[in-house]
Amino acid sequence: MDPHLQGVHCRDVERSFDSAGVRQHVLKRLRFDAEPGQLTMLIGPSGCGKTTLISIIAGLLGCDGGSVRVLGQELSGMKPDALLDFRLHRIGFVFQQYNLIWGLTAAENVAVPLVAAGAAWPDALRKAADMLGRLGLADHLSKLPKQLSSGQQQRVAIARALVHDPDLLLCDEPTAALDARSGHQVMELLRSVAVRPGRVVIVVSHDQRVFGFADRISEMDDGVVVRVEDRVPTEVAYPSGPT
Amino acid sequence: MLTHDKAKYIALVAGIAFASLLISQQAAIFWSALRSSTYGVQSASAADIWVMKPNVEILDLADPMREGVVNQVRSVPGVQWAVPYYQALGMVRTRQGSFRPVLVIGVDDATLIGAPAARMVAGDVHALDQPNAVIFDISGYQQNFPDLPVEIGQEVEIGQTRAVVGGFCKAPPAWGGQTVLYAKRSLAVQMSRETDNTVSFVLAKAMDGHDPQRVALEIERQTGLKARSSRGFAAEIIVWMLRFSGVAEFFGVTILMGVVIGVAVVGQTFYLFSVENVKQFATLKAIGIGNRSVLGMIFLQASVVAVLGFAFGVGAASVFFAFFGPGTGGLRGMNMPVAVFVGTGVFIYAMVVASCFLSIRRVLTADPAIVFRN
Repeated sequence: MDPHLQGVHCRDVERSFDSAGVRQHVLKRLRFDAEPGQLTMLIGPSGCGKTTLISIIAGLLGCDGGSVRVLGQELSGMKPDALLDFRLHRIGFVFQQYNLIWGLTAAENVAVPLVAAGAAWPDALRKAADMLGRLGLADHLSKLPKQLSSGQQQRVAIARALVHDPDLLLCDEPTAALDARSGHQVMELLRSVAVRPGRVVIVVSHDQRVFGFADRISEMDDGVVVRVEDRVPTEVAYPSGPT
Repeated sequence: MLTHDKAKYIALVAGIAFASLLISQQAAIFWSALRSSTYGVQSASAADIWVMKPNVEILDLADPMREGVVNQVRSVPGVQWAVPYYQALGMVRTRQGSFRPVLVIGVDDATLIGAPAARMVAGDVHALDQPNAVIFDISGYQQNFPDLPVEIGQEVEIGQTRAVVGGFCKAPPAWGGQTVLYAKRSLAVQMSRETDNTVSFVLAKAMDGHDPQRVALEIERQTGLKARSSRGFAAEIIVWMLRFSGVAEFFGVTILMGVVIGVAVVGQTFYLFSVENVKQFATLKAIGIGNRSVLGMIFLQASVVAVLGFAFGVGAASVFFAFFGPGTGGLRGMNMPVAVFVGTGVFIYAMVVASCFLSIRRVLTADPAIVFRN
């Protein structure tokens, strides 16, 4: 099987933290799967281990035991430089607070992963402009993040996550800081632009209003996945397009 | 990132500019003051050996000798020529009533060695051949005798001796701040009313092929006087000034203030900048940008503010010297040498880099996983 077409597969993943002298077992022999071409939603109450799990899947955090296989690569055996390179080329991130670089314009923010991967600024900016155009932000290329609405900032963040065409997209509560309308539009964009054959999309969310966009819902509780539901996404849309 | 935070950006540039101004301006004044203490040695460039009494340490504290020492020096093997050099404090009185101290420098009557030939701004050094002629430092003249026009031919009285202004030169003020005035030694002696000890220094030249330092040692051995090569004497004067004049402590404290202000402002601002932006740095690291690239970004930003701050600060210092240097005040003749310019630049950059290092730890240890914590 082409490793590029492989998904995310976690087996017996363990992770503990020391907190105020107390050992907290956050992930307990966790099993999790996300397949290419699907949008997998990871849900669960606060403190159940969702953030720890996506941090491990992203290679930002190590695990104490078990196997984390992402896009055909076993992460636990990778060296830090290889992990950096892996993230840079194969993973895209969308964060709850957007985490845009305040001093850079929308286009420059989107160009960052390309430049970091060695692209020349003009080429990177051109590709960034194309991506922003696809997300309805063609008129906002030169604006700084503070000049954009929350929904527009999140769309810039999505553009930054997708501009280098990653095989894995990790979204952490992408609608949490948005109102219902903007959140819905962001999910529509993710559904229509991010999901494609060969790409794994994992969205962590508390927002029940967006569950309908998922192909699979994995529910976590107390460090384990307690329920997996494969489903057909429902089409939910507001009348107007992106603002 | 930094330019976006205008308050910190301006604080950094202003802090660096102020530190650059303070350091470069004070260092330049310090340098100029030290240089002016050896001005007489620089002016008498024809001589490469200075001979004096053993107790003499600097130009301004000469202990005059008898005339005969000149011939003693001339008789030492390796000496090509030797001429007397005289200096003394005098009082200048003008017809309009001004009464000011001057440092009278008496150069050899026959050769005019020791006269500021290369620094004449009006008239010629050979004007000293005219009866009772003197050459004034033009800045000191303008400052101390505002009632006199800056014209050759003006008459003044020095030590009850009539003197005629034969020309003007550029010279820094004496260490004591007096205006410098050149005359033939015979006239200078007459002006200071000296009778017996009419030689402050003997200026000598080593024969071709002879090392001035070795000839100076031979002069010391044969005459019992103190002899130094010109370079060695200038160096000894500077060392003496640093040790005994208090100038090093005075300027050192001010320069240190510049350093402390610079390090405090720049270091703290950079640290705050890094702390406040740690999540943005973590985002970059999460995306896959390595520590090296992130550090490169920080150093690039630091370099930009360092260059800007340095340009503003040194620019202001240069304007200061351009304004006051050519004037007639206490800072006349002072300027910023290239060494101070370069030295300040190197120091400022080192200071900014050091400040970066204070904050880098926060960036290096920033856990990229914090991007998922809200």
